[in-house]
Amino acid sequence: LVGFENRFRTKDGEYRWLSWHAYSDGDMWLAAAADVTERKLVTDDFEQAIAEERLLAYRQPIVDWRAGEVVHEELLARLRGRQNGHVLSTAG
Amino acid sequence: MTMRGLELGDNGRNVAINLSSRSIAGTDLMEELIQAVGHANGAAARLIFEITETAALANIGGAREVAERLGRLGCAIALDDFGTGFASLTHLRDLPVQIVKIDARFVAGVRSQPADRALVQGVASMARALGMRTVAEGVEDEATYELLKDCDIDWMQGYLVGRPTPI
Repeated sequence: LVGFENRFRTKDGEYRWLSWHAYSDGDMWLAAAADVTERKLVTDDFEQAIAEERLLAYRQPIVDWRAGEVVHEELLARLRGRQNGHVLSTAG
Repeated sequence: MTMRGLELGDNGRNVAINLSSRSIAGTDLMEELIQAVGHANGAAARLIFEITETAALANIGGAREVAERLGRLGCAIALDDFGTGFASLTHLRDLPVQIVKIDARFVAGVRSQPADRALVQGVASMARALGMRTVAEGVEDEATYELLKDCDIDWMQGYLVGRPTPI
């Protein structure tokens, strides 16, 4: 199974992102694509904000003491120059 | 955001994301988020959304709706900073929550304040009876960690078990 994403330009000049999943049984390839443009835009905004350091992002583990392992990673983010905020509050 | 979550999740762990009252009230943002979660195959089951009690308090109807919709997609919901809002028990009853995160100010008192220890123990046993998991926030020293084990807390968070690290 392979997966990748690529960008297409539509007739009216707009770009759309497609996410492809392809599968081969050895003889034949089957492929399916989904339009993921909206998700891609949200992701890119977030990553750009981090890259430009407008948004400072951290992660902090949550530990299961019985199993002795990290069960979750909490994502925390704050806008530069602001006391506190969280990933999504900053985007709002 | 979702992709970032997926990347972090590739180590097999779940990812917890905070929702503030502002993000809950921001309808467009919530719609985008819910769509993004719906589009990311397999990601929903590894996402936990944390709603603080004060955020839930500010907009209980909105908080419940968001929690229910994310829950239907397969995400877990945690009630964050538990004990700091008014009507904490009402939130526990009325929100579709699987995880209760006990606020650091109760955890900080576990070592020296019998009242705080009793409260933490009580919340842990109440949460268990409701089929929920508990997290102690702000665990900073060994003695507190040991006492929290005795209180039957499931999971720990704080400087003792892991500092926040920049992404």
